[in-house]
Amino acid sequence: MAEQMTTRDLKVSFGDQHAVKGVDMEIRPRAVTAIIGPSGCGKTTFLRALNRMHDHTPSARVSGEVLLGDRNIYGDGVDPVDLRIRVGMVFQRPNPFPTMSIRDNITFAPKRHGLAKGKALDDLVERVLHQAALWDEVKDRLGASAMGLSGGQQQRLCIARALAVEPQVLLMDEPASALDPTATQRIEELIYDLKKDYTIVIVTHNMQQAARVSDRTAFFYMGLLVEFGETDRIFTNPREERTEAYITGRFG
Amino acid sequence: MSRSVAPLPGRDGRVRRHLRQRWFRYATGALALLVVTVVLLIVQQLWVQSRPTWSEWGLGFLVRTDWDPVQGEFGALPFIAGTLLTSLMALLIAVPISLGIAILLSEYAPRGLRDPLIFVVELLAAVPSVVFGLWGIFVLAPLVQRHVMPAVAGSPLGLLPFFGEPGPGYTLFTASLILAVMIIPIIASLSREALMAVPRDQKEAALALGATRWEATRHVILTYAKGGIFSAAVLGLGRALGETMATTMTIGNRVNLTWDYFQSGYSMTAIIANELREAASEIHVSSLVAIGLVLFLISFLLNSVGRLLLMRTNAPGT
Amino acid sequence: MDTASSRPRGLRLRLRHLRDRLLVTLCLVALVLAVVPLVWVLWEVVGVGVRHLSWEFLTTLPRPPTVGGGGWANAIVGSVVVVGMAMLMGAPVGIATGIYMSEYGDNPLGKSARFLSEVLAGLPSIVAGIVAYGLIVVTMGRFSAVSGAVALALLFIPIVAITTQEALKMVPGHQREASYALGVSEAGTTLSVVLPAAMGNVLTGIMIATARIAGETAPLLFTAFNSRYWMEGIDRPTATIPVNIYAYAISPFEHWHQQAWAGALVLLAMVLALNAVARSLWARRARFMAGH
Repeated sequence: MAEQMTTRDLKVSFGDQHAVKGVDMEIRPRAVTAIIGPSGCGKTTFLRALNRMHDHTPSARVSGEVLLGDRNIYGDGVDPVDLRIRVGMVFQRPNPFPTMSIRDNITFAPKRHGLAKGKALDDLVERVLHQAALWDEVKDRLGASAMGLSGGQQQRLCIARALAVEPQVLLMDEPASALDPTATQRIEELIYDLKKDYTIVIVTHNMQQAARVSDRTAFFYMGLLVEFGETDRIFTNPREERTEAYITGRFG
Repeated sequence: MSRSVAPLPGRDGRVRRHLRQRWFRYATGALALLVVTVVLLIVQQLWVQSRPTWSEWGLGFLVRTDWDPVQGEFGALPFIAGTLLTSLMALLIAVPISLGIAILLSEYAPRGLRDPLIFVVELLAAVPSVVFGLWGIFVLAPLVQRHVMPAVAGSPLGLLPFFGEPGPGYTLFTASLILAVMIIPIIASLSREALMAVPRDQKEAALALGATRWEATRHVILTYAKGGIFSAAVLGLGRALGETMATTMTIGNRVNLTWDYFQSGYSMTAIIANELREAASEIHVSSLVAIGLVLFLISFLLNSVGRLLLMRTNAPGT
Repeated sequence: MDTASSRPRGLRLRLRHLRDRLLVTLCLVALVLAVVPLVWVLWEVVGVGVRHLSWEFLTTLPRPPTVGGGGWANAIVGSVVVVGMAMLMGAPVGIATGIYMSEYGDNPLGKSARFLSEVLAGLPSIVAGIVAYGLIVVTMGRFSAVSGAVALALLFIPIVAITTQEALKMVPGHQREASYALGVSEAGTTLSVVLPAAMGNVLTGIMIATARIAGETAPLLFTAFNSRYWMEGIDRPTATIPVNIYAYAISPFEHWHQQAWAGALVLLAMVLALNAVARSLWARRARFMAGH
């Protein structure tokens, strides 16, 4: 079920400010692709273009192509709602719905999409909570508010919630930056487990994290994709001078 | 030492220094205290002026149904009922409309259209009540009499006990309609603020899960903001209860205890507006003020509850 | 991107989009329902009012309805005087309260002043009239312009206090610190640094509050009352535009009804002009401040 994503000359601008300036990238299925770069380099903007979140920012302009499999998600007749069922997203700050219980947070989307009901829905809840390694911690309080969970638990709930719509691609925008080291470690383990089923793209400002979890790493700078390759090679033997400068901590 | 430095002030000096530094704080504080005491002054005035009525009938005044200045018989129930009936009907009409406007403005309207629309809604709030009343007398009431009431009576709604035979143009129904128009701006703008206060990431979370904009609004944003919307409705109800001129000019001004919206009625504000300036006997004046006191207490309660809820829901971390 | 399972999902999706569209349409209907009465009121007031507005209406005294002609000059003057007195009484108190709430109000007094100001801003205006009636009309034994002004001041103060507080809060804290660091006293800091920086918005608040009380009718019915003559003093009954609109509208005379529309046009023009100017000023300042 994991799909490949490909971008071709992807550009994103806000008003007269060009945040992403023409990026070609191939994102492999069943692998983790990390995007690194100094803040303001366009990495989050790039990520949000992959599931058309910019549709809701009035000033944003997107051009170029983003292929999911072989279909351009910005092409005619593609419904952003349908797209987001296939391309899920986890945000920087854990954002469970505070007015809903843990269970309702997860069932919110599958119910709307008609993915499951009744017993099947219960099974789905249990399955994604297992996948997100949260089941044992919350199985006795599925009806409780999600706000009673710790920050790390909330973020894993958000991951479970995203998995519940059975996406092909999972986008993660600095998913551990608001968490403590222990919680971060659990999220990283989770990402490692998930990659056998999903295409995962993770934006991170933490280079060690990129090195630990990803198979391939892309380095963004000033809205451009400077270098992209196997993570081991990027960190040990970068070809571009700017990449080397960044990963050795000389700027950013 | 080329400059002489004043010795550190002693005890006396310290007090004077303190005052020189801080007199402004105390002066403005005294005036702020005045505002606080104004509320007490209002209560005291209303209480003192209405005492004859309370000592004559006690709380029974609230449920008495007679109002006969000639015989000296006074009771507040027809007015309380008229005020509650018109205000609640106005709220019933205004809340869905206001919520629709708030959703449109906060979630859907393109930015270029939003500011002009907000301006128009605020303009609605700026039209003086007496101008609405004038329009009510000469435009709305005849229209309601000729077209709206027959239409409602002919529809399934006409089967409800609240809608009897269509009557004259000046009825509880007409007053409710005009009140609804007048409280839409406050409910709409407070609801819009509540919707705008919902963190952006909540909406994005819903959208990223493949929710349509409406589903994100309905299930995530509206539930998140429901406290703020509720307090908007409470404050709108407070406005409707206290509204005077538009009600006085359209409600019919007939002492008439009924829940038939197609009959003329009276409201608490209207009886005061009509009779206080020419009330001759002490008990007549005090009964009118007693109605004013009840009105004040109800509106004070609604406003306090509404504001406290707003503070609680708008406070960070909830 | 089509998969085997996407067909039923496609139909469901279309239904969900349909519902999305339907509900947005309903929201639009709601907006129209709110805007129609506004446009209608403006249309009637301008349409009918203009036909009966004349130089005579603005400059002469009322005449008996049977004679015809005459104007509302005394009511226009009366409104200006009563509203002006209310401003003179209310502005210092309102501004000082706003200053206290913003600058020194992080204490029970400041918080209760803020809370009660908000509650008072929602006070039924007729209650302010009853209070002024009891305090002044009953004591003096007659209706008077000054009692009307007191009633309006009660409505004016909370609005000014709230808008002043909000205006001062927009002034960045470092401006105060800079002033204190130079050894300037609290009074000097507030009066010569903070207040001038916020002056535009404080004035905007005053304009909005003025627009609000200028249209108030209920509290004047039994305080300023009414009069057919030029104002004889602030301790005498006085005609005002809003009360005249009401009195003329409920009279049985066609000629007076027409004058009520003309009066409504004058009142509406004043109130809306004040509001429009105030709001455009506020918006510009808010943007200016946010930009820094």
